[in-house]
Amino acid sequence: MQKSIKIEVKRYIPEKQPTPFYQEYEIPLEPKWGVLDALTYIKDEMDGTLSFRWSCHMGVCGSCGMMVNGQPALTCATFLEEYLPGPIRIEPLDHFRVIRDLVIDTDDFMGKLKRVKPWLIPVEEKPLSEGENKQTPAELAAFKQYTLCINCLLCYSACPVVGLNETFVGPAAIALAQRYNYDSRDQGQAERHDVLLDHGGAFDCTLIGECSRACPKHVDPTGAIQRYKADGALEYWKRLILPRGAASK
Amino acid sequence: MKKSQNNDPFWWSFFGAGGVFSSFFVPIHVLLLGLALPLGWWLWPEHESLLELARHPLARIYLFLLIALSLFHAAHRIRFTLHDLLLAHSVDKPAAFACYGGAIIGTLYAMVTVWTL
Amino acid sequence: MDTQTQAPYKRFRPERYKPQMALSWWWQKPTYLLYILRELTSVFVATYAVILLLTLRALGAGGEAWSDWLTTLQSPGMIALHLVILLFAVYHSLTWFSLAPTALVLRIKDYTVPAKALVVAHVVIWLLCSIAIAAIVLTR
Ligand code: SF4
Ligand code: FES
Repeated sequence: MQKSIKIEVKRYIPEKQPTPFYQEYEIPLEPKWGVLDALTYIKDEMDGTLSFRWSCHMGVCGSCGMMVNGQPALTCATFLEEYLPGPIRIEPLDHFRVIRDLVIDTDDFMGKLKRVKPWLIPVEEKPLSEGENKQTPAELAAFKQYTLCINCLLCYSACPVVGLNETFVGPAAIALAQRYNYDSRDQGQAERHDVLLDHGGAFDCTLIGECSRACPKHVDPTGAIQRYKADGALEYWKRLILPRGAASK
Repeated sequence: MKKSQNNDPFWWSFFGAGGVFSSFFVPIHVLLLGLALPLGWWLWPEHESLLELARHPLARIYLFLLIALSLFHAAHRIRFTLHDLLLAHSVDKPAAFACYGGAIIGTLYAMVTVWTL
Repeated sequence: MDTQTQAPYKRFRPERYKPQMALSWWWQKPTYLLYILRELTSVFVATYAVILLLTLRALGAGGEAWSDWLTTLQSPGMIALHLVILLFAVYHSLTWFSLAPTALVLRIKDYTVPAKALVVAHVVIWLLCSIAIAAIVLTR
C-alpha cells in the first residue's frame, strides 16, 4: 500500500518572480483525504506561504475550485485516491487572472454576472399586504435546476470560448439569467436580451458542451445557453421586423 | 430596449436552419450521387428522367434550400472555427466577410441554376 | 462588452498573472478534439453543397455534359473525396441530432419528453427521409 503521494502545485508569488512555477510536495497519503485536505496539510505542516481559497469543505460554497490534473474540480469533493499513484498537479482555475498561487481574481466574473441582472424584475412591485407570490410546482420546475449554481466557476475554466474571448459573459452568468427569465414572477427578459443578444452574449458560444460536463451541481449551462439562443434569435427577428416596442417588453 | 449591434443572431438562425437541413439530407445525397451512382450499385435512371425529376417545382425548392442553407450553415461554423484555431480576434472580421460572402454568392448561383434548370 | 462594475483593486498586490491559451488547446482534451472535428464537418458540408451545385449544372447542360460529369465522378479521386465527405456528413448528422435536445425542450402538460427519446426520434426521421429520397430518385 502506497504511503505517500506527490503533489505538484503551480505557484505564483508576484513579489518574488513575475511568472508562475511548480513546486513539489510529498505528503502522507491518508485514506479519504480530499485534494483540499492535502493542500491544508501542506499549509499547516510544510509550507505556510501556500495560498488557496476554501470555506465549507462540503461542496456548497463554491470557493475551492482548482485545476486538478488539468480538469476543473471542487478540491473538497475530489479525493486523492482517485489519482493513485500520483503525482497530482494542482493549478489555479484556467482562464482567470491569478492573484497568488491558487487564488484567482473573480472581479471580471462578478461584473459579468451583474450585467445579466440575475434578480427578479417585476413590472410593478406588489405591496406586502397582497400576500406572497405563489408558484405552482410546474412553474418552479421551469427554472429550479438553474438555481442550483454555486458560482464555483468550474464551467468558466472548462470553456475554451471563455479563454479565447474575454468579453464572453460565460456559462454560469447565462444559466443564472435564464433562471430569472424562466421565473413566472419575472418580467426582465427584455433587459437581459439587451445583454445576451449583444457581443459577448450567448451567441459567442459555439456549443462545446464542456461547461455542463464540468459542473458539479448539474446546472447544465449548455442547455441554458442553447435554449437562450432559440429564444434570443426569435427576439432578434421580432426586433428587426416588428415596429418598435412590439417585441417583448 | 435597444436594437442589437450584433448580427450573430441573424447568421445563427441560418446556421441552425442549415444544420437541420444538411444533417437530415446531405448524407443520402453523398451516398447516392457520389458513391452508388458512379460505382454502379444500381441501375440508374436516364438523364432525361432525372432532369424531369429535378424540374419538379418542389424538387427545385428543395434543391435550392439544401444548397443555400448548407452553405450558410458551413459559413457560420467555418468562421468560428477559424477563430478557435487561430486564437486571433483580428481574423474574425475578414473571416466573417469571406464566409458569409461566399455563402451569399453560392446562394445566388444556386438560385440561377435551379431556376434555369 | 464592458463588464467593469467597480475600479480594479490596486492597493497592495495589484499584480495579476494572466495565463495564455496555447494554440494547441483543442489537442489537449478528447472532448475538445471531438468538438473541432464536429466543427470541421462544415468544410465538407460546404464542399458537398458546391458539388451538388455542379451536378445540377451538368444535369441541366444536356446528355453529353451529364455523361462527362459521371465520368468525372467515377475517377478514384472523386470516389475517395465522397467517402471522406460521407464520413464527416454522417458525423455531422449524429452530433447534430444528439445535441438537438439541448435547445429543444418538449413539455406535454407536466411530462417532459426525455432527451434520449428526442435523439432517437431525430435518427428515425433521418433514416425515413433518406429512404424516401433514395426511393424517389432510384425509381424514376
Ligand atoms: S453553472 Fe455549475 S460549474 Fe458553473 S459556476 Fe454554477 S455550479 Fe459552478
Ligand atoms: S470548500 Fe466549499 S465547495 Fe469546496
